[in-house]
Amino acid sequence: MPHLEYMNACHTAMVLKVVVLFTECYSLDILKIRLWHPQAIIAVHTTCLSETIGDDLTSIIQDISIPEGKYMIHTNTPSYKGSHVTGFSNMVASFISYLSVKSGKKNGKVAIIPGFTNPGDMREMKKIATAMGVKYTMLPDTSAVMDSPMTGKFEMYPKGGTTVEEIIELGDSELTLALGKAASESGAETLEKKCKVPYKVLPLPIGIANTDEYIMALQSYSKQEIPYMIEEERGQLVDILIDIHQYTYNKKVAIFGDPDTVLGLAEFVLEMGMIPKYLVTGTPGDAFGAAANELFNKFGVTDCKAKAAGDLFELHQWIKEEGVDLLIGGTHGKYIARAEDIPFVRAGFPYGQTR
Amino acid sequence: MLEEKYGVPWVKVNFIGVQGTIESLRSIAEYFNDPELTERTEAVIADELDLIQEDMDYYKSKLKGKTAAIYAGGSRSHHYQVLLKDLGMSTLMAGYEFAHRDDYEGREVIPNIKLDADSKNIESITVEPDPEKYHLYLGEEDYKKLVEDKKLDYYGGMVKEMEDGTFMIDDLNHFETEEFLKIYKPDIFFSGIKDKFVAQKSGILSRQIHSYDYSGPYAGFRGAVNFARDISMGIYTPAWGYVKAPWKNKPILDGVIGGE
Repeated sequence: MPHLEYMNACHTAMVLKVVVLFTECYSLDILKIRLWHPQAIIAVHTTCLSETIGDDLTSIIQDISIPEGKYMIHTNTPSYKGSHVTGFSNMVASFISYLSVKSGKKNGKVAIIPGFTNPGDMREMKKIATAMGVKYTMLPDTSAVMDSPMTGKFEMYPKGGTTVEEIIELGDSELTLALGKAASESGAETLEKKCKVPYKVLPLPIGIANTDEYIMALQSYSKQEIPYMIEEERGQLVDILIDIHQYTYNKKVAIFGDPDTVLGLAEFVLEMGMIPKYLVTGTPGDAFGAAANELFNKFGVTDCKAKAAGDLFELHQWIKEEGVDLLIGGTHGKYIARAEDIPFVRAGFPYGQTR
Repeated sequence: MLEEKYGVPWVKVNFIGVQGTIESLRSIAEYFNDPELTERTEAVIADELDLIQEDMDYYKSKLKGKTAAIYAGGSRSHHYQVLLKDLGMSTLMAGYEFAHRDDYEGREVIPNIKLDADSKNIESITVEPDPEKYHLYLGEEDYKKLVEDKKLDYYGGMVKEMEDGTFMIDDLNHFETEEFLKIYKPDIFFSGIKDKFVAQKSGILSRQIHSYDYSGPYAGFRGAVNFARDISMGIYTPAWGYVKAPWKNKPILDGVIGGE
């Protein structure tokens, strides 16, 4: 489901003297007056300019007088380090390291870190957890925020999302499920270090086996029977895969996007009997290639390539050298799909309009 | 009837399966007994085999030892066994809905078939040699020899194709089909659309062979490769491995033995 949603972000240089491009600027102190109400929290992340200059966010935030009951957190997101997934992952960890507190009394909840996924995915993960009878806090949770309904009334702060209180209480969770190693492990690790909450890193629940893993992780915590609703949906998926295998079997696919998403989709297409010929992510790191090769071996496919810190130009070159039957990825794949006349399935981020 | 009226004898041929196709081509050439045609026939066989050998070897390596059951009509239940044998597969069960005893047991049983109500369903027509158009291609000696060697005017029936310990079942009904699949679990069941999803929902791959289902053609040399490709993709579709949810085989509670 494509989302065209509104999210406000403010931009400022941190301190007056570092302004290079503008003669005047707002400092965070000025900003807070304009922005505090009615928000309970301001999350600050940096740009490469302030990183290069070396702004010390921790001390800047300490110098700011934060009103009672309000919070300000930060994370460093230099654009020359890692990718947007790195920044996302760090921000999740920052929420936890700034806010989560262990009260000493467990709250009977599972902390679910859903990874760099869209609100529809999060709704599905929550639906499954609820069906399994598991109480949880999801962080982050963009559902009912980034997919809010058209009501005729604009809401700057829609109903959904994770509340500050819930993030604080994460310290009392029984278990963390970190979905997607690249995006979610560091948050889970931070919660473990700070509040001694044990964690499991799982793949994103994309495809049958990965979703099974999520369900079974929830079950090993809940000790409950798995409801028929989940078995029915699962069985319907397997039935479809068998009914369509003659169209998917041995078809070659190129998949690009964020690492956890690409790995999930790759396993799913393998389950469909397809061959994930090329897997590309822009996010650097060796873990991606290693996980991809493990998948290739598990399904016994050969002549497949995986690359981290890659880009669409390179993927396009690979496709020109040896073509594929299908392209799967975010909206920018449309140029390759058009140029090479191959069908294109949009999945992952960004999920834009078809034009 | 063609033979009685016009003097044209018949040869039972089968173009399903590599071996079946080769034998059929050779039996046609043998009938005409023309050295040039025989030579040409052998050349075609060699050419076609050359084209498909690599593919057939590959699929055979994947399909060897797999089992099948066939319930179709019009000789398919017999002929597809030839193709399955080419691929190293065995047929556990084969049957027809409307076949007669000679289709199963060969023409030698015809004199022993007792007439019953069913025999009268088709009107019996008697024909006489046509005085103008009756024509024999072969001399009487050659003709007699071919008939004696069972090369002409003969069909041996399906039973001769089937291994010991397999089932030949006439007019299999739905209940019997389901029970058979449950007990013998063939890797693939060939039938029609009525049975296909009964088999598949119970976890057994099924392909229609009344029609070509999604693909085809399966006849001749290159058709054998199409067939091999189709059933190997069906059998090796990973989704079969996910039919049973993993939690079905795992206890919910885990713990340690203690309390001593």
